[in-house]
Amino acid sequence: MFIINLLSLIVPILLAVAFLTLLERKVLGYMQLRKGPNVVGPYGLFQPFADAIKLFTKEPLRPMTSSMTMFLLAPILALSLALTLWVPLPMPHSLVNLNLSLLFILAMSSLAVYSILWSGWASNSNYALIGALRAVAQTISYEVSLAIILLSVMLFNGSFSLSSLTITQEHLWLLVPSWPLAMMWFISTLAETNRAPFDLTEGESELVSGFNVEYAAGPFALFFLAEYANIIMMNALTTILFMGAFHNMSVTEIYTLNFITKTLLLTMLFLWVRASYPRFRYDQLMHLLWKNFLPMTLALCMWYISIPVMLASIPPQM
Amino acid sequence: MVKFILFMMSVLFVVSFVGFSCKPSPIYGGLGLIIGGGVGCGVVLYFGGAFLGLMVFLVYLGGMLVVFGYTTAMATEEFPEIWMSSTTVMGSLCLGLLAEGLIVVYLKGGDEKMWGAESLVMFSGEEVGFIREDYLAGSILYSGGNWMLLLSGWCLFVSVFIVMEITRGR
Amino acid sequence: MNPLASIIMSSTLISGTLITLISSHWLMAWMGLEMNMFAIIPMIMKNNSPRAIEAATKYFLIQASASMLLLMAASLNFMYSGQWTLTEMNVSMASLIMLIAMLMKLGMAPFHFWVPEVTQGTVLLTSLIILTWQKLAPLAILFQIAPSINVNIILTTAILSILIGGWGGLNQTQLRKIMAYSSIAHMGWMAAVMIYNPTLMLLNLLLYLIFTFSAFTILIKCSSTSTSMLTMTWNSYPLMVSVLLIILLSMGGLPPLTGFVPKWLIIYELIKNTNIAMTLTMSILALLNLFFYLRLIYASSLTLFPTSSNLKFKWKINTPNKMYFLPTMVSISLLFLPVSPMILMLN
Repeated sequence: MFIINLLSLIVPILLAVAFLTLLERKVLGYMQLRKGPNVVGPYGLFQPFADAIKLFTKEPLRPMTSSMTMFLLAPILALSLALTLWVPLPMPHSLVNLNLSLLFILAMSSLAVYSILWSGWASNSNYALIGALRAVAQTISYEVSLAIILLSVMLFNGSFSLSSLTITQEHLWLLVPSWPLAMMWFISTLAETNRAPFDLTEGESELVSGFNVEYAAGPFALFFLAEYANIIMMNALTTILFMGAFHNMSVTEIYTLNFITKTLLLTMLFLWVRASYPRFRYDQLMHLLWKNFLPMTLALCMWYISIPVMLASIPPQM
Repeated sequence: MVKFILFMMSVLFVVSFVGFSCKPSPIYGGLGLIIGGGVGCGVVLYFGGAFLGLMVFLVYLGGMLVVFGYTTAMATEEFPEIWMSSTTVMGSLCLGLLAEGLIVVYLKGGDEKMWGAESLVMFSGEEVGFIREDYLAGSILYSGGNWMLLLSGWCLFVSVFIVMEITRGR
Repeated sequence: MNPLASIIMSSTLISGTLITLISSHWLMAWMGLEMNMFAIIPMIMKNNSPRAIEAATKYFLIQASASMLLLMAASLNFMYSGQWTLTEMNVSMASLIMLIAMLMKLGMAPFHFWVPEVTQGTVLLTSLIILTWQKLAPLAILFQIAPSINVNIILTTAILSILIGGWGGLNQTQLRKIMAYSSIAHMGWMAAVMIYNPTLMLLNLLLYLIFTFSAFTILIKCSSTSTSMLTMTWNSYPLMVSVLLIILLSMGGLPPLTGFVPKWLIIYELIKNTNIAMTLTMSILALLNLFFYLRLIYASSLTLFPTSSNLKFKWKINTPNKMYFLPTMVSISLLFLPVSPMILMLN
């Protein structure tokens, strides 16, 4: 019985991911004054299915000089974590209502680093290794600012649980009081998902697809799905954190529609950013985090903790 | 059923320790540590310490072991050893698993004293009331355990100097 | 080493032992022992030779394993008795494991194999610290759990240590290894009396510290690390060789020197507890110790080894400075025997 519950979460996510790939290609195309794929179905709508069939019928590669355990474990871990991260998100009722859901999300996303690391190491190819090392350093750097921004938001919220954010934002979006944090959070999520302009690691012009260069069909599809599921999840999390919708108990679908609209708008923003900005150089990326974002985040965290406590306006701590 | 889950988690804990102590290549050792850490968190979560378990996930598995894996991946060795590739490693793995199997069989027919591990995992002391025990433990580290905290801070500070002295070379 | 780093290491070393000495909670005691251990590792590795690195590695592995056993014993004690107090170690299994952990830390047989190699692998000053200061904290723990120590294990260890300390030192010419084996033997004497009268163990420890410190001070001043180098000291520091004679004879336990006091009192205490066979064995085996001390004395002060002819009778003799309380300690090792009735009264 629980399987149906789980599948009703996973199948729509995978469908959404599939169509996100099509959406990305079409939007990028139109922004570059050309049409995206429009051959396969009407307006190219069957393109994702064609891609899926192609990927899953191709022969998967198992390079002889690579280490099989890590090589196969990495994409499995990536997709499992990407799907697990959807579990505590309230839309408006989450699959599992965790008390510490923000901490859970942080913990799981910090495990996703391993899939990049192991895939890069196990491929036994220098390009993959360098891509992986760069990606790991970038991800763990941006996770630091992610965690500290979440700290300030958690103080506004009063607990670690995401479902109480709907109550917190009942009268006002959390974007209004903490918009500098929200901007830094958005850019940090761009960096966490290795998305342009932070996509040095799979820089297709530089490293020939980085850490997943040795992967062919099935495992590559898993990495791909994981990456796009992470993108949509990060946007959903941004929406829940900063632009919460109104939760009407009797008609809960309003919340869902509101939420999905905002998530999709943020995802389009991701795609817009990809089309507009050139790639960061690696030291610029690190400089941005450690010398620009992190001092600002720490200072704002101190600010957002001290001012509410001083004015005795912290929420009930549950 | 629930005691069975706890039992299986403990067995998996020991198996993962056996997995990395038979000395495969460090990346696989990191894999063993991750599984062991994850299952250990499961044990803590089982006894109600949700905050502590997730903290271990976040900081230990998601921070410290990542850095460990990073440095191990950079120190590339030409022929990494996995559990099946070298006779030595496989032999010690089999020995460890055999010992664990014997202990499991011995414990299954044994007493219930082993399950009383609550007091070892969660703090249950004087002022437990409206606050959950794991958050309480975090704050007790600063209040009642201030001397220990100071010493631990000093030790960590000194260890930086020690590592620099040791790796200085000629 | 950088002076700042050196100060940090030394202060951590000293405060580690002090923390173990003043603590009443097992975790604090463990913490002090760990601080002690890792502060001394860079001091062992100070002169970066492969031998020093090997000595540091061996020291670290042994002490870390012993600390792990200590933690396990403390946790076992907590599991079965519900408290962490250092003096109330009532669970016999935990006491046994704790004893073994402390024996590993002290370098007593059968865990003695690291002592000669680590002592030999480093400079004289650091090996002095390993043989004297590092013994304080484990012996303090043993002193506090003395009522619950397993009698058979510790008496076996004592006899084995005296045997191995005596026998192993016979074939050595390197002075640091000789001091290491002498340390093993003295630890054996201390362990033997621990269960009967812990105060005597402290007396033995105090006198052993004085003797070892004085011997090492002389060796450092003469900067001699082997017997053959010791034979040249009559030329540069003629007074030191006579002092060395006194100290080594005292270490061997000869009356009327002070070194006889602990041995005599320990034998007395053991006989009071009707442990006569062991006492006989111990006193006979102490002769082996005396033999290799006598060999050192023979080489340095009693005879003149063959030298090249231009080494006789230097016209200028430098008096060494920075003697680290050597005159005080020599006086104690020479003349303290008449004080022993007062010690007996303090008992």
